[in-house]
Amino acid sequence: MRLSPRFWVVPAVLAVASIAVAGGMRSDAAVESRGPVHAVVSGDLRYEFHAAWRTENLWRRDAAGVWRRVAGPDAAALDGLRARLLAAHGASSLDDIPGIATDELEAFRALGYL
Amino acid sequence: MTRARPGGGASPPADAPGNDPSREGARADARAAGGEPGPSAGAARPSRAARLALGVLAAGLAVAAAGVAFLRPAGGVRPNVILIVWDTCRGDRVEVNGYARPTTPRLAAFARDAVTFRECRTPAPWTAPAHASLFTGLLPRGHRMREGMGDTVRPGIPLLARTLREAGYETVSVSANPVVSTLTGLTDGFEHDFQRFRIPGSGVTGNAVRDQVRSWGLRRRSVRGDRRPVFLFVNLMETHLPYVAEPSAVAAVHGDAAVGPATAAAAAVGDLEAKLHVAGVRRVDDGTVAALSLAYDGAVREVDRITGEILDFLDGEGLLDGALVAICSDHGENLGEHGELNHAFSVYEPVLHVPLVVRWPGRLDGGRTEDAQVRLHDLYATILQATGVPTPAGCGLDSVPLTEFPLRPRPVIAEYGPMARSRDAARAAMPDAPEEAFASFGHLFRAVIPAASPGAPRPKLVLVDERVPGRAPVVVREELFDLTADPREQRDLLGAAATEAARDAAGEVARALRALGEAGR
Repeated sequence: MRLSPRFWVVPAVLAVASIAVAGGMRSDAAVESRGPVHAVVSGDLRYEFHAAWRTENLWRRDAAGVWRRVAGPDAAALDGLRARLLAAHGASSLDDIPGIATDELEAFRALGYL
Repeated sequence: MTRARPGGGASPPADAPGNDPSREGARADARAAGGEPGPSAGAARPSRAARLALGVLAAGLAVAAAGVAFLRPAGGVRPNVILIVWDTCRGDRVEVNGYARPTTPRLAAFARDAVTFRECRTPAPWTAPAHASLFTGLLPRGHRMREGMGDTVRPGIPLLARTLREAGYETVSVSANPVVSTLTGLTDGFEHDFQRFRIPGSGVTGNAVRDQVRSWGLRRRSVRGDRRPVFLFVNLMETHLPYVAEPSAVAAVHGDAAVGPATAAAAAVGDLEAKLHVAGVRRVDDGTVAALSLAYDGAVREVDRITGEILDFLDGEGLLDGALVAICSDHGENLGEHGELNHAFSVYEPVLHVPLVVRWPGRLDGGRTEDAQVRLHDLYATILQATGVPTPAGCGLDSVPLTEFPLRPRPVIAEYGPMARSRDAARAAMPDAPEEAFASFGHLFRAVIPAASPGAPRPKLVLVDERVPGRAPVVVREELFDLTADPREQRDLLGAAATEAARDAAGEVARALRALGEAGR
């Protein structure tokens, strides 16, 4: 069976887009860790996962270069950045990223804060 | 400075000796730039690459020397910085601020050669945001750490320890509070991060902190060659619930008869009991609250003793010579005022007023006392000033050095909450409490005190908003006090007891303070 050239248009567009996205991920996303905080920075967005508290923060850099916490996180942006962090850690979910500062957390709890 | 002339070599100054290597180097550089043949041109002349390398090396050394000179304060020697925080110590329970009981003889002795800031206020009555302000020179709204339970300091804002470490300081933290640890990121930048957490049942007290400081100091003495200046941060927790009510300390402050009630109250009331009291679930009776106050004073006496022993050791090691030493608290504590215990959900004076005594020989010394209102985070700018280290971009915006003379009063803006994550934890800890007991966790508490001259009326606005994401804040409570006439904040000038004219005038003041609080500085 011979496929029409038109048939290949959609897969080709998807392939090119995927390559562009993957390339973009590699080129502008930086994954960094400091203490219990793992972060992914992409352009003016910064995603943080706190490996002790298991919390996520999303920041956006304003025109003045100041990072401001995003109150109602953009779900799509959050998903994309979280996926980059998981890929960097070879993890399939945040639960796979080990806890950090667990002794401190226990001390915190023992003091009555939790 | 020797400069190359166009088309020719350098013009040596008349007083330049021919064998001055630095000036010779300048001439060589000029020749390289202008093409003038040197006196030794020929077979022995270094290759172009070698001269280029030498030039780069010389330029690098010059830049490094300039950098060192820039980083050093005018005196040329960067002082050690010793910062000792008495976690949860009230400003009105120390003798240097006028307390009549002998809680702090060691602090009083230290203050005789320092400056006591009797009207210091914290920007946040809770360890995490208060320390973040101390380490950034920013209000909580600037650094963004409100709970310290998964929320971090704003990206791109380095903490004080990192700034000093990158400027060549040895940075050491000995913390008794797990809030000041890697858990919150507040120890970022400390190359030595010693944890001596004082938690119930651990048996660890400030004595362990003192011993750790000694251990570090002795090891430092044995290491040859490392003579970097030191930034030593110490956090002591004797005055945090459950209070360390050593019988001898309680007796020294209140007499032997106080020991029994004080130790019993200290053993009976911990963080959970205080939470239940504040939530209205199970109130601590007045007698126990009064005994708790005695225990608290004993704890202040203990933290004073331990601090004195730490200072004695540091002095013996020569680490206090020329050093900037600051003794302060991160926030205060409620001991029954306004029906409160602990330091949550409140911005009244017992939790905002903190001790602050600073010694920096030549600048902050002589036993002076200052009654102008200052802020805890003013220490940030003061420390950077003393060390000669430039303030990183975005830091220190709310901080003014304490060395200003005459000292001008500064406005105070303090914030607490909302504490969304703490609410989840409190619900789990108090499963039988009604839902309304947790309403305060969603509130933002603010206090605004304008800069006022000592003795003049000092209005203070207390504002409590309910904060729900996506909705406009709803005012829950608004109160106005005059701290000069009413330091215990008993008469709300906006309240029903005032006359209509007085309420109108107070309303004007409240509006102005609200605007100041919104502006931030």
